[in-house]
Amino acid sequence: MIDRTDDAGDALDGLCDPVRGWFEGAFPTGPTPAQALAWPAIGSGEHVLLISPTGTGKTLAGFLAIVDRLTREHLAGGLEPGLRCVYVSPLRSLGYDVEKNLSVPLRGLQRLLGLRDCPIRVGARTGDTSAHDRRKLREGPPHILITTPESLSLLLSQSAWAEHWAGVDHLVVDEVHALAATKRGADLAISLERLAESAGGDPARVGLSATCRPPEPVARFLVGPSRTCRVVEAPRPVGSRAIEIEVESLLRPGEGPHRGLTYNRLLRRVRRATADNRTTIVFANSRPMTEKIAHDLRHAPPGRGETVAPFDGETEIAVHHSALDASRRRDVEERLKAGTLRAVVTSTSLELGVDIGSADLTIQVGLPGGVSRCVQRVGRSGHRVGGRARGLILAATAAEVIAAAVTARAARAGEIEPLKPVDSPLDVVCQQLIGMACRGETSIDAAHDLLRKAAPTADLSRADLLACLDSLAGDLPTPAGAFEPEPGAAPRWTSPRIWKRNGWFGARSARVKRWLWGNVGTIHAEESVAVIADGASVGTVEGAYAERLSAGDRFVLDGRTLEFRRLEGAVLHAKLVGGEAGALPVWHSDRQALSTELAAELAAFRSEASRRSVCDGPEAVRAWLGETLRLDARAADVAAELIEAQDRWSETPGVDVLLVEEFPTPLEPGWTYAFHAPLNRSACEALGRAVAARLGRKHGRDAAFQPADLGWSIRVPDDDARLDPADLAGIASLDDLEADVMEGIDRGELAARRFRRVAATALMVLRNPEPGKRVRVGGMNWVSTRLYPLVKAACPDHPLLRETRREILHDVLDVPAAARWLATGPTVRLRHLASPSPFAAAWIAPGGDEAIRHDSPDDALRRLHARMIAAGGA
Amino acid sequence: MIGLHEHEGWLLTPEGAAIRPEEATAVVADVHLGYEWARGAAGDCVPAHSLSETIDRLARVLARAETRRLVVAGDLVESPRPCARTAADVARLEDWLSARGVDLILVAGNHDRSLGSSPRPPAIVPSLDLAGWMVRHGDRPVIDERAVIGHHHPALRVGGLASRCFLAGPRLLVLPALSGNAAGLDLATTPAPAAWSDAGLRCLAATSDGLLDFGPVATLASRLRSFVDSSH
Repeated sequence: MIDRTDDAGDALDGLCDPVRGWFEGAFPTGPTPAQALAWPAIGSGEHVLLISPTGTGKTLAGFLAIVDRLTREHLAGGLEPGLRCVYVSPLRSLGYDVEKNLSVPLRGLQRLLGLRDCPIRVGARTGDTSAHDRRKLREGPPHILITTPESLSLLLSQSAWAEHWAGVDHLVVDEVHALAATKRGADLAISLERLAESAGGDPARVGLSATCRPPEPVARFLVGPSRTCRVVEAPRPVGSRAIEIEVESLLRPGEGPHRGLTYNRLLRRVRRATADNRTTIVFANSRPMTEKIAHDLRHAPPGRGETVAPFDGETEIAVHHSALDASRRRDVEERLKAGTLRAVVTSTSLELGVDIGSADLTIQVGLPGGVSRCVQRVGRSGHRVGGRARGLILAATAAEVIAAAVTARAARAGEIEPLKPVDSPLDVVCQQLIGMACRGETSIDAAHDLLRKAAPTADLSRADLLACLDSLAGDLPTPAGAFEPEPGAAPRWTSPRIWKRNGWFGARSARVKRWLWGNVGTIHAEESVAVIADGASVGTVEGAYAERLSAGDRFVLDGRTLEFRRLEGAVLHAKLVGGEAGALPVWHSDRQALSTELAAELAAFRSEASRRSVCDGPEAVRAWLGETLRLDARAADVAAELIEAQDRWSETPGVDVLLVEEFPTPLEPGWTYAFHAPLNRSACEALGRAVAARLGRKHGRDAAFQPADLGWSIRVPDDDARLDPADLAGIASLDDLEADVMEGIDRGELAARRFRRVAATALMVLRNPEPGKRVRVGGMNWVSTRLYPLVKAACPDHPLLRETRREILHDVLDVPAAARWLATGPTVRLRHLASPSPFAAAWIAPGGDEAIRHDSPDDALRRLHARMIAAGGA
Repeated sequence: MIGLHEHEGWLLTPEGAAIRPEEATAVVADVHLGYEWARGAAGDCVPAHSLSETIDRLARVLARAETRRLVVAGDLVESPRPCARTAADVARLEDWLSARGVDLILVAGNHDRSLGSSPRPPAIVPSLDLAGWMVRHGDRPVIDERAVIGHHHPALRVGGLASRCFLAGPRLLVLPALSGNAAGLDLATTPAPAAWSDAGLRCLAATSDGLLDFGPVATLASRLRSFVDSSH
């Protein structure tokens, strides 16, 4: 299916005179390798996946061959108005960037041809487009349309656009690697098929991608299973240098983790880096941390021994994250490109997208999680000619030092993780079926054929498709024994979306179109809750987070410590406790989960370091750490100390050991078990849920479960639930693993939480209901706490329940990885400790745990009542 | 009888009903029939459930004591807008009750505005005197000598548990919502209205087969907080 060719021929010769003339004038040094390879392939009308590093002229590589073709038509006198090329970008900002970058050659061509207007028209249609511009685009579409996956899906569902697609002969998908393994990508893949069907011929697809290994899944995502894709991998331009990544420890040898101390050092280090470089990009993972660092870079006075910062905090430091207003983000991007900013602090939003011309350093606060993410981030710098992408990872704990060093080593070696495609997400299928129905009556056979041309739904079964249609038509069964005085008198599901008859389906009413247009897409900004402290508005927190707080809980927002009082609808009432100082975001929650490969490598590395420490002594292990991980002396010392402390306190588990550490739960009755396994968070969560279910079946009590990278913890309430050493072997059994994982999911909160998003994507519940009709009673948790069990009781085989299970078992958890490791027969070892071991404290941080319920709610309430009476409380 | 809690001549049931045996009358509040149709009107596609759940709960209440009259202390329905399907559900509920020899009386609540104009409205009164207790919805501040109200949906939420509660005092009885869809006033975090401060209310939380007395409402939040703190 995939044909890889690297020979290019003389790329410029393939272009028509005005286009070549403009290019030679604008780029006297000639095309970059990416451009030279891409133009002939795209010009020949093949489907092409172009893989090239950022800063190699990707826009022109993708577009110039298309512009060339349109120019030839113009010269031959035959360029009609009408849509010819659709460009889709996952980021709106990238679309604006491309629009601007395209205007340069188009204006140049216009001048060369001596015309008053450019013959090739470009237009953008995104969520930001005004109603006026939308109408203009609809009435007179441009030759090249720039859009996002969501807007494209919307346009495809509008009959006013139906005739416009006929002339499309090119589809360009930017940042295709970032879409390939996501539900958003699955949605786009189906939209592309819908577009292709509406077009006259099969439009040629051009995918623009950062490095991906192997490229085959990305190519298949781009073109589907039935087309051939040419993969063009561009080498780096001559003179560019390999990326450079360094890891620094904020902790000094002999120190325990100390949030305030490491934060001050972090700030000082970022300030120094900002002063030493032209433009620095700081990735801070979480939004609160991003805000905090930016705020302090701007306003905090320099520390002792620091000279006054050689930059102006107000004008030269900026923040960029997805919760910011679009116009503010665009302003920051403009200033970045203009080179007027010294530092931008971002959560993850600048990982993709606009070219940050002047950046020469990226700093990562905490772990990026995976190698590809690390490389992507570092690659945002060093775009100047002869520049070099430089990255610095700042590690706040000893565990982070080791993990960051392993990540950096893999990044230098280019060991990018393979992508894991999403397989037939039924919620996305439901939304697309509604889209098809809104466009007009559709045959079920045709819809099935179309879906099977898209890679993510290539294996969608007829039964699944029909189940989705039945659920959309309200034809699925309702609760057994539902009260039905007059059978068939009333619909049993509210507001069906489609009708379905004789092999055809269509939208029930114009309202369905409004519902789709108001809720299109798969991105769910978490419902947010306004926080009011002492009568004043402070900001917002995620709804799911707010629901987990109980009276007296403390949290940090906008750099201030708040105490939770109560939640009223979408308003959280809190009390300001503590001042501005000392209020730091919680670090461990900012962590990104490790990839499977990195977790395995990290576990093996820990074990090897421990072996060397024992055999060769402390000096030798430090030297070895410094050498293999390229750590400086301080970082190597900090890393070695953690391993040595663990060996003194407990043991460093080998990759063939499941180490279980038991210790009394700090400050609470009961016991905590820290499990250590050489698996990443997804696999740990799978195995951990199975273990929690197995233990729960024994003692019948609720447990608190927390998954992490390289382990998990399970907390039990009292001695009755304590682990019996005789049960040890059984907890790591391969028998019934998947069933036990499922039980651990069902008894926890994960499935109900995930169902909420699945139901929203499938448009079962609308995130944006009809104006003025929002149901007030019930609260925002209703979908998880009520609808999920209702649907489970009504219709256990509901396609959205199956999608929730599929998503959990395949996308969230990694059951196969857990099973593979269990199959190697790891030794289970139990150690009784007085308090958490260094590894447990380092990797399995407390907080954010989930209740795995074995107790009945009645028993739990009775137990609470009894305990309160015993405490003199009732 | 097992599961019943006697309070000032009322029998309080785990389903959320207050029964006056000498009047053969049961009082419930906040039924919110047609919740799914209101969601449907806003664009959600969810299974019908509130009528069957209501009937299920009422059947258990009727099995506990001889009942000839069911008083709903407001919010029989969810939508304040006219809704044909909700009105049909109300009619079905009435049929189900009358087949068991029970009359339905609705004390109007803030959600029941449109019910009077439906084709077959139930008997609607602004308030009802029952054995010296005034049954009201409770959405408006009215001072009675003794009152039974709904509207607030009191519930106790602690550590992932959620339980519906009666708030019971010598002069005031606040009923839990009969509907499972009501979120309501969380006693563990929300201060009770000031008007209740000297009502001497106790929190009676419902399990599936009985009520547990969690003590005075006035101190409940602070007791829960200190209890949770001391076990941390």
